[in-house]
Amino acid sequence: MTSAAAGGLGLGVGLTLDNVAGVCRGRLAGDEVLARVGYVNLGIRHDDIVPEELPGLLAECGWPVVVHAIDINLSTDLDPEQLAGLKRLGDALDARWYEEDLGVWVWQRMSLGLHHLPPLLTAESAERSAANVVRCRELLGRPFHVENPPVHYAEGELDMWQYLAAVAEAADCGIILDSGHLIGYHLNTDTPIELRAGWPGWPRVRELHISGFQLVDLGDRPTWIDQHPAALPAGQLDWVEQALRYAPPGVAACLEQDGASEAVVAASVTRVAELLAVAEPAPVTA
Amino acid sequence: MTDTLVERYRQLFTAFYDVDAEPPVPPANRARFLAERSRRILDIARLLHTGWPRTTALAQAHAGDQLVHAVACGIPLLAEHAGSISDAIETGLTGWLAGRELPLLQWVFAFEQLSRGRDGIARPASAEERALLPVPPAAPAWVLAAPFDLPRAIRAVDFLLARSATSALLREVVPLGGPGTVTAYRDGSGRIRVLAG
Repeated sequence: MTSAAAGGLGLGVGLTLDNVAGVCRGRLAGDEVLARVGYVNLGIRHDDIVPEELPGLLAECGWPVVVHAIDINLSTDLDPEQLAGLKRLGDALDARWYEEDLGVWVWQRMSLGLHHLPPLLTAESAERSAANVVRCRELLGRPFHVENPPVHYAEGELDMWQYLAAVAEAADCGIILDSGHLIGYHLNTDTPIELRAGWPGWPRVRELHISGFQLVDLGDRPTWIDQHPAALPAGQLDWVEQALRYAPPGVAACLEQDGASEAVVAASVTRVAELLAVAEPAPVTA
Repeated sequence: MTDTLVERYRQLFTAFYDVDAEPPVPPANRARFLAERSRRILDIARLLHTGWPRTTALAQAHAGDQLVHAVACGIPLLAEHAGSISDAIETGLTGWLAGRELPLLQWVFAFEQLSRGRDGIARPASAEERALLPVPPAAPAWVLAAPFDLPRAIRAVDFLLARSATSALLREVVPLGGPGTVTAYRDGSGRIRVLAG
C-alpha cells in the first residue's frame, strides 16, 4: 500500500517562504518532477509573514502544508509570544501539523542554527521536552510532532532512539524521523548505524526526512554535518527504504534538499517516490 | 521546574566556545566534545572570512597588517588589538583570542611558496634526495623539513580555507604527526611536483 493510498501525504518537499511560491508556480506550469510531490513542508519562524497569495497557490497545486517550526526551544523554555505567532501562521496555512527538532535553538535571542544544543539524552530532559510539546499542542490547536535533531555531541543515559520514543510517548505525539540526523547521530557518537526493528516509536512515526549530509574529516575525528544540497548517498536511501517498512501505513517522506541543483532534486524525487510506491509495512517484531 | 537542565545547557554552550576551558564532560566524551568545539569555532571563524586567497592573507599576516589581515582571513589572534574587530569576535568567542602564535601558518606559507617554485624558502635537495625522486628533476629541487607532517596539515588548512582558524586551534584540530620533509621540483614538462616523506 502506498503512502498516498493509505491516506498519507506521500512525498513532500521542504521549502521556505522565500521559495515556496516559485515552486508552486513551477508545479502549475507543468513541471513533471513537481507533479510527483504531494505536500509542502514549510519552514517558518514565528515572526514570518505569509504572503496573501500563498494559501491560494498551495490550494491550486493541491498541496497540503506541514509547518516546520524554526527556533522553538522544546528542550528548555517556551516563549508564548513565539507560539502565538506560529499559531497565526499555521492557521493561515491550515497546517496539517506542526513539527520541530528537539533541542535548544535560540540562546538569549540569538538564533543558533547548527550551533544549537541537542537535547541532553536523559529521562528528566525527556519529561521536560514532552511537557513543552503538550503545551505547544494546546496553544497551537493542532498536532505537534517532534523530530530528532542533528547531533554532534551527545550525553545522557539514553540513546537518541530511546529519547525520541520517551518524549513522544509522554507527550502522546508523533515522531518525525530524520534519516540524515539519525545516521549522523550514530557517526558522531561512534555507534553503529542502525535502524532499530523493535523500536517502540515506530507506530508514532508520521514523516521521514531525507537530506544530504557531509562527513568532515578533521584529522582523526570525523564529524558529520548537515549538508542539505548534497546528493543522497546510496546507503541513506537503503535506510529510508527499510524505515518505510517499519513505519505505519501512510507515513510521509519529505525531501529537504534546499540549495541542491535541479538534477539532484529530480533524482531524489524520483527515487523516493519509487520507494514510497512500493513500501509495505514489515511485520512487527517487538 | 528545576533548572539544572538549563544550567547544564549553559555550561556546555559556554565551554563549546572557550578553547582554553577544560571540557566539562566525562572523560569518555572528551574527544567528541573537542571535535564539536572545533567545528563550532571554525564555523564562526568562517563568518569572519571574506574569501581572500590563502597566500594573500598569509602574506599580509607576515607583513604585519593586522587589521586588514584579521578582516581578510579571519584569524582572530591577529585581531586582538583591532578595536571593533575584537569586539565583534568577543561577542561570539570567549577565549578565542588566547592564541598568539603562528608557526603552523608560517609553514603553510612556506609550503605554498615552495609549490610555486619560489626559491629561498627551502634548502636545495641533496644528491641523495634528488636520486629518490621518481623522475629526474629538470631544475633544482628544494626540500622543506618541517617539525610535523606538513602535507597533512596542508590538507586540513585546505579544508579550513573558507573558515580560517588560529594556529592554536589548528593544533587542536589537526594531529600534526612527527617531523617530515616535503620536496618540490619541476618535472620534464615544467610542472612543479611536490612529494612528501
